[in-house]
Amino acid sequence: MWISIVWFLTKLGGYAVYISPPIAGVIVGALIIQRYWVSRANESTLIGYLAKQLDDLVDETLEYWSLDWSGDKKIDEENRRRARVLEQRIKGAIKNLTSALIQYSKLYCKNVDFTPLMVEVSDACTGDAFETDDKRGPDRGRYLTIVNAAHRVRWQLFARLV
Amino acid sequence: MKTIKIATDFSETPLGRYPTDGDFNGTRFREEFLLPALTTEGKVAVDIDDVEGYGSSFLDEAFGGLVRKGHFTVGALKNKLDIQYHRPEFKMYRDLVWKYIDEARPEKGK
Repeated sequence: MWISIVWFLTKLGGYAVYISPPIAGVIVGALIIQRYWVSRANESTLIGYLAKQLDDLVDETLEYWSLDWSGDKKIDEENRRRARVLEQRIKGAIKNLTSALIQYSKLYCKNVDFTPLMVEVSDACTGDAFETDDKRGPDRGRYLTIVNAAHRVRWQLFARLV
Repeated sequence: MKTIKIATDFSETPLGRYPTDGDFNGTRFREEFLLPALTTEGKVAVDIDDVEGYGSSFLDEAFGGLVRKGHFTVGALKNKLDIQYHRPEFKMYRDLVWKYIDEARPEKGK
């Protein structure tokens, strides 16, 4: 591209003095705009990834708090085993999501601190009877707390797209 | 000042509240690690780095339990306890610890 521009300018001869500055301005402007849109597209992709991670966390957490192992039947034992797996997945997902949000914040919005929102998410997802071995049924009261805490993170992310 | 590093002194995978939940539960950490250090040392630093992940239930039982069980007041813990981390993702757990300490109230009779 640069060779073509130089060739074009040499062909213009003396007129190049007059038209070179505007051409340079247009090229620099185009590069700045392209850089801006590439950055916006990358940010948008990252926000999509973070929103997906958040959705997966909510799905697994809601499943966890829906499990019933209040009895002594075979299904209760199966649910308890499933809960043991979900507990570790949920803890890992919260830690990974927190790391990813910190990286996102460093790259695109240094003034936004996701920590208070992730404190709410962690408290909602892994508080109270989480990881306790007591027999228990589903905790439906917790569903809304989890969903609302996750929504607050999601809206903070989507606000960046607007 | 005594320093307790949870990942090396206790476990990389702490979990649960009560002894029935596993060997590395919040009650055991409070009673066998935190409480002896806090009662014998002027200040105690707890390094929360390098753990695979914390459940809020563990943090609430270990740290909030210090107030609920009547061992310390919130004000006393603010002076004696220093929660340390180096990796940025652990800031969230530090904030959770102080949230549970701040929200804890002594149980009746404690």
